[in-house]
Amino acid sequence: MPKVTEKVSKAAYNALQNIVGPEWVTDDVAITESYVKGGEIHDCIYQRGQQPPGVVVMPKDTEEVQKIVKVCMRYHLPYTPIGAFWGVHCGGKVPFHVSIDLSRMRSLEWDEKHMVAMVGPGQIHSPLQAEAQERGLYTMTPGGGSQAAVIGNMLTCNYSPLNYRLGLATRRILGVEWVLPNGELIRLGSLATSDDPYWGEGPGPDLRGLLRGYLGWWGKVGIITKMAIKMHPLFLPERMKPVERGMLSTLEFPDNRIKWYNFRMPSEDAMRDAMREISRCEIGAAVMRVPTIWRYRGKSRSREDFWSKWGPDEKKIRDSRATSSVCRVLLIGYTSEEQLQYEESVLMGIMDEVGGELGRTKQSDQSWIKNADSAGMWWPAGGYVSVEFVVETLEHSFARGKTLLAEKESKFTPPLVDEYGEEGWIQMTDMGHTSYFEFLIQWDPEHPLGKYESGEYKAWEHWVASQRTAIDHGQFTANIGSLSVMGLTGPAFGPNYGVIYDKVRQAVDPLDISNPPLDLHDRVIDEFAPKWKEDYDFQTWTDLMHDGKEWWKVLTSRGIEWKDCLPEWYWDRDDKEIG
Amino acid sequence: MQIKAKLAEIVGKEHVDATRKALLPYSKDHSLLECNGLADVVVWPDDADQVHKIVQLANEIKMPVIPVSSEQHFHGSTLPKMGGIIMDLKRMNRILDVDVPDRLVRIEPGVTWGQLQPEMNKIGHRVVMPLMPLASSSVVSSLLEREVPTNPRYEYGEPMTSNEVIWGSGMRFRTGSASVPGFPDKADSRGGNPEGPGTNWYRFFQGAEGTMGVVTWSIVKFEYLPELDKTYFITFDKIGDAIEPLYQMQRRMIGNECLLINNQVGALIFGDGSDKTYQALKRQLPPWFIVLVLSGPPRSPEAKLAYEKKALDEVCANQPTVLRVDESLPGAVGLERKLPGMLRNPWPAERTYWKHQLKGECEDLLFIAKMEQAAAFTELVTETAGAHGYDVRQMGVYLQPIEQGRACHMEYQFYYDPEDETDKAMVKALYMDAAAKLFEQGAFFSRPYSLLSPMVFDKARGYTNTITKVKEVLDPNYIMCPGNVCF
Repeated sequence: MPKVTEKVSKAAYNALQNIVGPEWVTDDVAITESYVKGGEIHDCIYQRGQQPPGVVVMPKDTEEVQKIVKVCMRYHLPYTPIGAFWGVHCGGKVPFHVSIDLSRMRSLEWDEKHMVAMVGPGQIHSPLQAEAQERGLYTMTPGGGSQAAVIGNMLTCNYSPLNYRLGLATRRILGVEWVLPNGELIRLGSLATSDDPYWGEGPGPDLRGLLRGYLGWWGKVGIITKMAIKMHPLFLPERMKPVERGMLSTLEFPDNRIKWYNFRMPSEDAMRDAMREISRCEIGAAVMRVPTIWRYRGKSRSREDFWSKWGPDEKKIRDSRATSSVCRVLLIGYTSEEQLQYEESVLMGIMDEVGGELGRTKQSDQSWIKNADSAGMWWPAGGYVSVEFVVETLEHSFARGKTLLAEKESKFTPPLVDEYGEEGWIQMTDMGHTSYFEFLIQWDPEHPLGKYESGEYKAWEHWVASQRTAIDHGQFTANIGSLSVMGLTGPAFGPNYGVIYDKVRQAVDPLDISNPPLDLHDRVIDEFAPKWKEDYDFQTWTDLMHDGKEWWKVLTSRGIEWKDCLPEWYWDRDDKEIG
Repeated sequence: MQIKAKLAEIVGKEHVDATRKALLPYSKDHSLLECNGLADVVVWPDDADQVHKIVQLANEIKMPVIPVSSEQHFHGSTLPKMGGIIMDLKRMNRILDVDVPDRLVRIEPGVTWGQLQPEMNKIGHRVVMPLMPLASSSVVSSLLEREVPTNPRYEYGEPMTSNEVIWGSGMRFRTGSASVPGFPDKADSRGGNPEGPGTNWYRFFQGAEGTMGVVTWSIVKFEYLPELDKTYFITFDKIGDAIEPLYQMQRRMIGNECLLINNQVGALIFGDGSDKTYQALKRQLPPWFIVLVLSGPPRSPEAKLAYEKKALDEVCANQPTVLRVDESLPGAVGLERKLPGMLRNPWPAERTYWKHQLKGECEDLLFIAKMEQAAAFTELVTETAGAHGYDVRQMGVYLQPIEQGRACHMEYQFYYDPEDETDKAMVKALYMDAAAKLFEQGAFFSRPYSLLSPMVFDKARGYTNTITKVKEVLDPNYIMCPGNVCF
């Protein structure tokens, strides 16, 4: 008989065990400890405040999920749904919460004719993409890698250069089956009135609006147990072949139908003009500006290999800053081989006009269709996070890049890795109406600088500072919603979206038991970096919304104070690691 | 103080009216829904500030608000079912910003198709639009109602991006990336991203028939105006014969505007409004045909048309049900040259609307389906219409492929004489009967207007309960359009 924790009662544990069977529930610390953080990032700000669960439970189907959620309601047990547990943000934040691991629910059903794949929450991108290609279809795999859960990713990020032609994830979510925080099962889109999930909107006002915004809720509005995904046609007479290249694997293209082009551009203006004109002419399957450091990383086989090139090349890179980024374009002959020829002709015409110079390009993919290279993100330094990854217009992308670079270089470099003036990654989305911008920062988590000078601490501060600069410059930011400092961004955007955001969440989850709390980052800053409230001019969400009174119903109902959620041993351990 | 006087303080006394004469036009529309009463007052605000104040006032006195932005209405959504304030937004008809590099235009809700498309054409662009709407129809309303465009090519993304909305609660709010501080004048954001802040608010007022709030401006995408067009007509004996070719064309992304209609719809759209032409077209047009427009972009348009035409030939050659692929239609000389322009512009304002030419009124039975269901659904509707005594030779059928043929918009049109109560009652009965049968067979009524809303929302019980929770946050006093949707 497993040991029952002091905070999850024996009765609650038994109830969970009765639902899933004894082999699918545990409170073994060796296992619960592994549910503190996802695989995405380590030694990172987002882990602050995350807690190991008291119990891990693994349901096999929707019915079991409903029953588990109802048990959690009955015993006021906060729970955290987990798909593949790749995203670090979906870790639980409350001590002794219930981790609902959905990895057994990995169904994958096809309606090939109508380009629909219906997946369970444990399903990941890799088989989805592989099976799609066998059916003359494709979708995107996210930047995080093809090991990320499909539903988890569709509900949170799902950004890729292929968004250029596939649009944003929110448009590709079709019929949805959803267990609300009270255990009620609802169905969205055509599933609301039938058993066919092919359509996403309605009926009437579209409840998909509640599933996510620019980012998702990270499990705060219940559990999606099935989701139909819109797939897209990619009929190739010849399959893309998986091949191994050293440590990496890649897909070889049939280059009469799918082909990369890399152009070195004479100036930022030329880059801007080319990206816009390609979009306006509606050619291409992906269009992006690739930063210099990404090219170095892409060519490296290890961290040591990266630094052996990146370090010595500093002067060369700085001297050629204006021209060192590459405009990378993917063309696909969706209709026929002739389409590719036509688009290539248009592309070359545009590049002739703006002075783009075609370089060598491998006709294969390891990043966007197959996406098996996400581990490369850690190569430069070992620690990495994207402080920004936002969709707005192209000019906004350039402006946001300049704002964040100036801030990073003036305040945070070092300890953050010097990228020699790089202004971030840019790719066109929605056929060029908008543009995706990403700003990655990197640091060495093993470098002994002390807690308040460490890369992790400065990365964290840069992340908060980036939200301040977005407000000051009227720039959109990914850091809005449950991933933001609510007391900073909540009142500023909308304006004051935080008020109705919080009300909607409370309407759906009145007991606040689905992956609480909403204002995690405010609380962690309050505890560990309170001076930032003055430095970046904000109050905590609790101060703003509740007159400083504790309102977290689950914790108060269980007699737990917020400070109890930050066990000393957890922080001590991290501090030692940081140095 | 009387409500009229309070409103006059907000908009000026010349922009508010409570006379029967002023209110009567708002109690009728082109739908089969009967409205038994009048609104209390009609008000014509000029800007978002005034809209904001009116909604705040309505909350104070708990009076319904019915926003209206088009001149004519088809679905009963703007009828004052429980009295209240008609908020007619026709004065708010400004095109606020045109962002050519990003192909985005910011417009107020009173901007009509007849106003916007000529402005877009002047700069070599157009907004993708539904099948020949009224020139006086609001663009914002059309997009909020998720009317389906004739050109599926752009359905990778939302046609509408950021918006400003006055929620029913009285809160003034900007959605998407326009939510940034300082928008639009002191911000780097151009409002291009529809998502956020926090959650996707815009989805709550789409398909909501005004029940969540009042949109005071929207940002809408526009696309290039093709340099070159070539129209093809692919003809069939039966609707079922057209389906597999349509799947193939859409899956291979051939063409821009693409729709399947029967000769009834064709005769109304292609005619000159006279009975003689209508009858001639009915005789000469093929029973069913796909209209497909191949279009060339600003660069090398001929080359694009060439590869698409080759692909079209390949598809048609492999489809034995294709009777003909023609560049013109019998009985409609020169139509092939005019049609791309017709499909990119609203119905001419000076002509009787095409749906109303035959008998004065038309009821559309519309829903989302899979194309493979079209033949069976059409047979079901035809049988039902015939059983109710409707002349099925005069039933319009329009199938609009969506998202590369993943799904389609189905529309059955029943024409009737509004002065003939027997005719009207018969159409209403067959409409309800056919809708119930289609619903039973799996048709998805994503926009279940007025008469159909109980059928749909009663079945979608969990969905209805949850959207009601959202409603109670955004419009806690239920002042917005009571009686619509499930509220």
